[in-house]
Amino acid sequence: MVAAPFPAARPPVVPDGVAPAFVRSVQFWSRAYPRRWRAARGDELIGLLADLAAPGARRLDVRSALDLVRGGWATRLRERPPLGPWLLYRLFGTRSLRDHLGWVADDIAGALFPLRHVMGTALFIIPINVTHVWAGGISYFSTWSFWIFVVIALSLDSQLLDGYRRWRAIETYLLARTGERVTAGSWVRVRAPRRRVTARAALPWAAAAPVGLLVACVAAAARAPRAVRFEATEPGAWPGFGLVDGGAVPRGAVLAVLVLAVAAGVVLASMVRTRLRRPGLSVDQPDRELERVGVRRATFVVLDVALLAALPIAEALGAVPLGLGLWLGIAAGVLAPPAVVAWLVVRQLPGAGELAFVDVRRIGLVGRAPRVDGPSSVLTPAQPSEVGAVWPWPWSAKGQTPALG
Amino acid sequence: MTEQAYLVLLSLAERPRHGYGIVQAVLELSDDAVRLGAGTLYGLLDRMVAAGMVEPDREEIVDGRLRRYYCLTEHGSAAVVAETARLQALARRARRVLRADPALGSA
Repeated sequence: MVAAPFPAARPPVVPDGVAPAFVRSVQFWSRAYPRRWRAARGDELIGLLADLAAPGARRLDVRSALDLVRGGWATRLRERPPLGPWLLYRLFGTRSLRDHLGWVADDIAGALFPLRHVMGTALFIIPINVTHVWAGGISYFSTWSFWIFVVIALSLDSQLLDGYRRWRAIETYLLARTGERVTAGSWVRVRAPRRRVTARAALPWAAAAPVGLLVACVAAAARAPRAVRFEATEPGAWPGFGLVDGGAVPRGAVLAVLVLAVAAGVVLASMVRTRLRRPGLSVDQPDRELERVGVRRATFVVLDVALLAALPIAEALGAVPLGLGLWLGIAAGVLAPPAVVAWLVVRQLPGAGELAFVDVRRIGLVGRAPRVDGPSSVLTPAQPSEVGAVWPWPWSAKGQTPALG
Repeated sequence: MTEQAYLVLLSLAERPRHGYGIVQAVLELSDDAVRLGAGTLYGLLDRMVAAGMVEPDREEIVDGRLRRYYCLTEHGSAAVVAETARLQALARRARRVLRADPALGSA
């Protein structure tokens, strides 16, 4: 699951002698039709309208445009699912639209799907809202927070979660489960290589993260104006002390602790170096595909480090007392040297291009040979030849079983 | 069956045609009275394909235009023959009615 499930529509074929503006105009007006209809008939429609249009036309004439809008909405109405199963699908997320998979696929692919998906549940807000207003409260719909929630629901999925909600919806509503018959529009789960990030691509990030955190924590230890301090509570109360703001910073002790952590890290680093230089680290990985770090993973690493580093930075600026940041500094101090050493070793090690980050982590920290990856799986639209078959257990060696009866 | 649907079926009775071919044939058959728009034509074709009267035949690309040909199925041929017979019977009855009225006798 590495990309949005539904690829962007391919660019249309521009017929000879037809202005691209005319094709764009046809595409605009044909949006009245369902997505699956456009995928099946889009090019044919452009060809027909180009034949019907006056030579050199740069946009669709009003009569044809209105005809398309009317025809498109008539198609949507004609192919809509029945009300009862639709309500069950929308409100309770049931698989009641098994006979309308094309419609469901379009629903999931639609730009507003994340919103529609939560709206099904959010409809239950209406009776609660009505009761709330009757009781003298203000309507939730007039609050900013409600509309901020709507915007977050809309943008979160595709921008940050890599279409996670759409993938989940495909798995729930479109996937032919084991023992189910594959119908037109079904998706199936097929065997795929397990994707791993290469060690050479990941290690610079893995080294930079603890080094960056360590620097922030050292800065906090050197600059923090005050620290937490223990204070005894009333006799008899458990655990007998509390943490309060405002203690003096035992700067020497704190810095010594960090130096000790780095020293432990250096010992670990020398172990990692020896382990990574042993011969025969590569294991044959038939079910693996190596990949780069990618924008999404990089974004998550940067965000995670920024979130963690916020604490020691706040401590250094005196916004919070020095305390928890010390523990973060100890962890970063222990991890930074082995990560840097692993990066330096793997960069020069012959044959290390075949190693994944997980392999280096296992070799370095556990001291064992890399694990052989088992296969992963991906969801994909069923092939026409698979329609009608009863779907077997995922990646059965026998392939799909013939349809029963 | 609407007049437009009948004309589309009739245009396909002769030979398989693509969208533009159907529009031209319908124009000719209706003596320039019925000019089908793309939305109307595909609405009719969708319903006829769903009803099993018409099916896609073949595709070709001419001057960068995708042309998908449609042809009548057996069910579609039977439907167009039955509709023609119904219209013939209607026309016969209409003539009889008109002849009975001396003022319209020449019709």
